[in-house]
Amino acid sequence: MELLKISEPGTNCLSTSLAQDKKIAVGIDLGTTYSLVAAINNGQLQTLSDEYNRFLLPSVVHYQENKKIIGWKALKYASSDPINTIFSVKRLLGYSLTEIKKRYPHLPYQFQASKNDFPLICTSYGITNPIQVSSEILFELSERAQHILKSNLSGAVITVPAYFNDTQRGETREAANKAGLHVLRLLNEPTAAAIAYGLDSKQEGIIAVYDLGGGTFDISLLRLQKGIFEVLSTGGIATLGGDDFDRVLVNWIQCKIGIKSDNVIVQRKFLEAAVAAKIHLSNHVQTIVKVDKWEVLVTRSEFEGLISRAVQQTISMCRRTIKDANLKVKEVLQVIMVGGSTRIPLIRKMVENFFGLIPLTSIDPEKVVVLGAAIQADFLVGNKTDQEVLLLDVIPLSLGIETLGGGVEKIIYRNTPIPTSKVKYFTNFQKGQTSIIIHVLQGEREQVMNCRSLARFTLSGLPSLEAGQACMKVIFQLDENGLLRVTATEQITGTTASIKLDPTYGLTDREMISMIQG
Amino acid sequence: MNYFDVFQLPVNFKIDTELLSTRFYDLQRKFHPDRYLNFSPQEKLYSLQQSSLLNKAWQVLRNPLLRAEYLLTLYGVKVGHCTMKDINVLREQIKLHEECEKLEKKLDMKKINEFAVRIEITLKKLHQQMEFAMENQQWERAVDIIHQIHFYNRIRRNIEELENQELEF
Repeated sequence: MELLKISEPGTNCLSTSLAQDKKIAVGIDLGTTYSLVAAINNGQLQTLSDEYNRFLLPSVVHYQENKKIIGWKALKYASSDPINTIFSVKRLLGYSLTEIKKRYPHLPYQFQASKNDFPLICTSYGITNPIQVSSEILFELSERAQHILKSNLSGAVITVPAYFNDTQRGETREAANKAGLHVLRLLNEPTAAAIAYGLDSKQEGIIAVYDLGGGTFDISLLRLQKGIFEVLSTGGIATLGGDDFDRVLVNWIQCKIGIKSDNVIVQRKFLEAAVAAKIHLSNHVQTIVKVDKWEVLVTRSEFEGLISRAVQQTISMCRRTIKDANLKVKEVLQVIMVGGSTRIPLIRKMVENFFGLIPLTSIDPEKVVVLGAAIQADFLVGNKTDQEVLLLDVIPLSLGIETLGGGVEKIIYRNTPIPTSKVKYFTNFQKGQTSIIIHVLQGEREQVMNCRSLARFTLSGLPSLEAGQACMKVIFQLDENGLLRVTATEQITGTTASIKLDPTYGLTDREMISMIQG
Repeated sequence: MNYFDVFQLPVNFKIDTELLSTRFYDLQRKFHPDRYLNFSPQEKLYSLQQSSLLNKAWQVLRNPLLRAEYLLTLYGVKVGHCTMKDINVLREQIKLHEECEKLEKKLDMKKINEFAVRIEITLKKLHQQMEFAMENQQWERAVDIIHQIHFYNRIRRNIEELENQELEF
């Protein structure tokens, strides 16, 4: 039987690597507000901190004329120079400039569009872009890790929200490559969290991972057994997170005072005060917000009133995701809390009420993802651990192709286990037609206009035949990271069609070259 | 090689689901691309293809509806065309459609929930009937029931759409 012929990996390859020194690999959580790096160092799983013992690195980059400043020091320029201080860049990954302007009309940055609507950001340092900014953060973490571990890195596992689409995953990988990292695997954040808890507590059964970070919400259902982490379904809201709570709180405070400021410096001060108030309210029933000459009292219940609708939306998404996995709420054995926002008492309470379980919070919700990523990275470079980890992921959004009349035909449904492939046959509509354009989309809706355009493939080099005579076999292959590749052959003549990928937007080669290098 | 062969299982509707998942996990441990990170491009491609095949086969076999459809195709029974012979079934479907439209006009969550529960009960019953037909090799009857299941699944998706509208995602 064909499937069983191949020799088992490990019988020839891993045995040789055992003789070599242990390879060092890191896990990186590239977050919206903070990023972290962790590794297994001398058998110890740990987050790697900077010289001031801080494990968090603010995902902020400040650009000066001849200098790039990353992290805590960059944060200091937030109020004084917001135009050159890039925050929450993860939210911009994978979006065109038009989309960014629509979603976030109030960003202080000076944007400029590339020829195909890729967002460029003009700074004092020069022109940059979301991929470049992400790679500065990754580079900083990579330097930190190499300094502490006193070793070059064999590779890295980078975590991404489960709900990230193909473009966003592709850009994350590109950012890592630009930072000089060898990407072993892109790992869904909730899966990483479950790895951290799964190996700690030897939990077996259905696990829900509720992840509310700075910029995104994700809910994933996993089945854990015998060291296998299987994602049953994922859902999320890509634009909901702690940042939104800060913004509604700023609006509420300003409303109460009766001011409305367009001044970016003043706005930044209010934002910082709101963040501090939000954190304080997790452990206190009220707090006083002070900005310049203003003072406002905020109670916890007032804050809860502001965010309860958003939290309710996350609960509704939990319900839908459980349905997607053909499960019932009571079948969930454990709920893992991930992300700093899950420290908010209202959220813990609502999650507990919905699942009927006390959520797991024993691992720091800000560290749990990066620790799981480090475990997986260590495993992937071949350092054998006592338990073998295997991840079986699913695709978070359906993939489809455009049909006549602007409709979308789904070819791979959401929550299909990956890797997977799908074969489709295409024919020529006209006599002598030598190329076919295939428009690939991602999303759940039935119209092209409501889905996200991923790419247009041009299959050219078809033999010149009568209408309907050509038979083009197209294989859509999704790899284990959820990245799509397409191959095509013409069945009758055996011609292999050349495939040209035109990302729906993105950098042209020339724009790539002229871009400042890190 | 059919999907049953992949897991060395007999070609049969009744299936040992324990054994299926044990074999699936064992094979994925061998063939998953994560196990082939330091291998040659050809070996990596092979692993990707085998792992994909395992996922596809498993997805079909573990789901009774997909398994029934797959098995019928293997037996050369056409599943695609719907020839609704039973007039009572047709009437029932028209009635449900009208109810669904009414619910769409007026978003009453309580009514929608009641409707959803009814659909779930019917679907459960249909699944049992389908399994009985498959196990007793009544292919034509199985095809009819499968069509009904697809109809009810569509209704269920409509209801979910209504619930989502309520949530305004």
